[in-house]
Amino acid sequence: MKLRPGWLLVGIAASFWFFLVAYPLAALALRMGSIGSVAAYFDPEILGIAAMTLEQAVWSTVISCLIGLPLGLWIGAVTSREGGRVARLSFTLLSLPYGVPTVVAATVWVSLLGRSGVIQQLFISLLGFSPEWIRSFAYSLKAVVLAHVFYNVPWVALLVAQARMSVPPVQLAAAETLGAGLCSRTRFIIWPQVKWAFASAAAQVMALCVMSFALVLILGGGPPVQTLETALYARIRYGALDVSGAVVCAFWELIIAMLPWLLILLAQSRQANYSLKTGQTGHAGLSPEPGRELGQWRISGVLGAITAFFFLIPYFTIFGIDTLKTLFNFEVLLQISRPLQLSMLIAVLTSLGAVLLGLLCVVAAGFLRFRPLFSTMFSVLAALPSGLSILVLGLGFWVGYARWLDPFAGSLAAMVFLQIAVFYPVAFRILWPVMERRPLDLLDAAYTMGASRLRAFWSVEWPLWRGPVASAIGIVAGASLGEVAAVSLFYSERLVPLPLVISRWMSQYQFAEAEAVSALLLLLSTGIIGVVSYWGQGGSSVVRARS
Amino acid sequence: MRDHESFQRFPKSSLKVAALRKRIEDFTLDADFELAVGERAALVGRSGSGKTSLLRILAGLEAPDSGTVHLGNENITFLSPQRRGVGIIFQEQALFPALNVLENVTFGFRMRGTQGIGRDEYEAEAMLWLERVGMKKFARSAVGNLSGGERQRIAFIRALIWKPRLMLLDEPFSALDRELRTNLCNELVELHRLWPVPMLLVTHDELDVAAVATSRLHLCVAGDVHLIRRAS
Repeated sequence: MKLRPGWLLVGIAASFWFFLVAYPLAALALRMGSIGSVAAYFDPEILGIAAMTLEQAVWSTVISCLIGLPLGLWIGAVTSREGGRVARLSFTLLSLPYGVPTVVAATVWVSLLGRSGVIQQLFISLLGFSPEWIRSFAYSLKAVVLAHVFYNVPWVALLVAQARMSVPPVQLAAAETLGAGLCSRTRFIIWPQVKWAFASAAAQVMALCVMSFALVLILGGGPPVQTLETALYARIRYGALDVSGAVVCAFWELIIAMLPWLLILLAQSRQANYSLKTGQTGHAGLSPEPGRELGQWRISGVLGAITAFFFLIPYFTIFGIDTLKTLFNFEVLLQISRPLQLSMLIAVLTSLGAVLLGLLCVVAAGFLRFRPLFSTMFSVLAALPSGLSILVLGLGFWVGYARWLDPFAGSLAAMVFLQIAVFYPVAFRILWPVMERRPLDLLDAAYTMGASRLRAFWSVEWPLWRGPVASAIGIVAGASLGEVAAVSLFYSERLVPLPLVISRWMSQYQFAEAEAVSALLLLLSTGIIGVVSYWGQGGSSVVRARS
Repeated sequence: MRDHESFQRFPKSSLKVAALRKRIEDFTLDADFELAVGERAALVGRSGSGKTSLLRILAGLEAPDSGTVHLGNENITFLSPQRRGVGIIFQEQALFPALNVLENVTFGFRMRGTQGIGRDEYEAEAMLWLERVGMKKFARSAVGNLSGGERQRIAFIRALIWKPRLMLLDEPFSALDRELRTNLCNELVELHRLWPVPMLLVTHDELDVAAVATSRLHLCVAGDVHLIRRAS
C-alpha cells in the first residue's frame, strides 16, 4: 500500500505530540494513580492552597473584566470609526503587556510597592510616614491581584475591542434611525456580538491567574500567598523533595484550570457559530457617528490610547537613570552575559522548534480538514498544551523521563522541549488561518500558466505565509525570553537563564541589579511583540497567539 | 384599514432641502430640492458621488456644513436620528442578527414607545405586514437563515411599519437578481401606498427608477461641487 504524504505528516506531528505532551501527561496520571491514599488528595494544607489559588484568580478576573469591558467597548468603538494610526497605536499598547515577562512584572511591582519602593518613598516624602496598609501591601494577596489586574485588563479590552469592531456601523445607524439610544444599541446590537468574546477573555484570564507562577512566587511573599503553582514548585525544588505532594498539587490545578478552559471552548465555539450565522467576522468598516465628526473621534481615540498606555506605566518605572547605570556596570554585564546568551539560545531554539512543529500540525490539520471527526480531534489535541500549566507539564517530563533526565543536573534540552510543547499551539493558532485561506484557484491558475509546484508555491502562496511565520517566530521568541517556569524546573548552576537571574537577585534583595536586568528583558521581549503587533494588523497576531 | 386611518391622523409632511452643503473628501455636495407627500423620487449617480452621504444627512446620521432640512414646517436639520421620524433602508439591510424576524420588524415600535399601543397589538400588526409579503411563517426565524430577497423584504417592513415621515432607500436592490428585483420593486410600491410619505430612492439602475419612481433628482458635477436638484 502506498503511504500518502499527508498521512505521513499526520504521523510525524502525532509522534511529536506524543513525545512532548501525551507521554508526560500519561506518566503524571500514572503517578497520580499510584499515590494510593485518597486522603493525600484531601490534605487540608493543599486544599487551603487550592482555595487561595481560586480566591486570587476570581478577584483578579472579576476586577480585570469590570475594567476591561468598558475600555474595550470604548477603544473598539473609536477604532471602528477613526481607524487611523491612533487606533492602531491603542491596539499595539493593549497587546504589549503580553510581551511583559511575568518575572519582570513581579520585579516592577516589588520596586513600586516594596518597603523601599517608589510608593512608600512618595508617602514618606509627602506625609512624613508611610501608612501601615501601604507597608503591608507588597507580599500580600492584594498585591498579587493588583499585578494580575494590570497584566490582564489590556487583554480583556483587546478581545472586547476586536469583537466590538466587527459590529457593522450600518446596523448601529439603522438602530438609531429606528429610535434606539446608546443603551438600546448596546443591549440589542453590540452586546450579542461581544458577549462570547468577553466570556472567552474572562475565562482565559481566570485560567492564566490560576496558572500564574512568577508573579505569585515573587510578589506573594511565600506563605502569605501560596498558590498550587508555587506549592508544586516548592515541593520539587525547595527543601525536601516531595514528588507525591507536587503531583497532588498538579491534580488540583488541572481540575481548577479545566473549568475556565471548558468555558473558553464553549465561548469560542459560540462566537464562531455566531460569526458563521451572521457572516460578521472581520472589521466592519468606517462610518462616522451622527453629530460627532471624525475630529471628535480622533480626540476620543487619543484618550483611549492614553488609557491603554496607563496599564503600561508601572513597567516604565524601572527605566530610571540608576537602572541604566547599573545595567552598564561592568560587573553586572559580566554576570549577565552568559545568562543572556543562554536565554537567547533557548529563545531561538524554542521559536524555531515551536514554529516548525506548529507548521507541521497546520499542514497535517489541513490534510485532515475534509475528515471532520479526525480534524476536530487533531485540533483539540494539538491545542491541549495551551490549557496546561508549564509546571504541571514539566512535572510530567520530570516523572515520565526520569530515566534519562536528572532535573538537578540541569537540562537545556528539557527546557527547550518543554517550552516547545507549550508554545507550538501559539504558532498553530497564528498559522492556521493562512492554511484555511489557501488560494487554491490562484495556484491552479499558476499551474495552467506553466509554473511548477515549487515556483507556484514560492510566487503565490509563500507571500501569504511569510508574515504569519515571522509573527509566530517573533511572538514565541519574545514569550520564551521571559519564560520562568520551564527554566526554573530544569536549571542548574551551569544553566541559569536571565529570568532566573532576576528571580535570584530579587530573593537576595539585590533590587537594583534585578531592576536593571528586568529593564533589559522587558525591552527585548516587548520590543519583539510590539514590532509584530504594529505590523501584524493591530494586534491580531497577538490575539490569535494567546486566544 | 388601520394603516389608512393612521395616515389620515398623521401630519402629512413634504420634504424641503434648502442650500444644503457638505464637504466630502475632494468635493462639496450641494443639494436643494423638495419632495411632496406620496412622491417617490429617484436619485441616480455613479459611486462616490455623494448620494449615500445625502441620505445619511437626511437621516441625521451626519451633520451638514450648512443649509436646512425641513419636514413639513419642522426644521429637522440638527435633530438626532432617534427623533427625526425618518426610515432608511440600507443596501446591506442592516438586520440585527441577535433578534429574530418579528423582533427586527417591531424594533422601531419598541424603541420609540408604542404611543398607547400594546405589545400584542403591534406584534399583530407586524404579523399582518409579514403576511402581506408572504413571510409570516418566518416570524420567529433567525434573520441569518433568510435569503437576500427575504432579508430585503424584512428591511422594507421594518423601515415602514412604525410609520416614518420620510423614507430613504440606499440602493436596496443592488445585490439581487433581475427577477427578484422586479418583484421587490412592485412590493415596495405596494407597501408605500399603505404609507405614502415622501420617498427618496438612491440607485444606479435605470430599471429600478422606472419601476419605483414617480419623479427624479439630478446629480450634476460642476468643478468640485456635486449639485443635486430636481429634474426639470
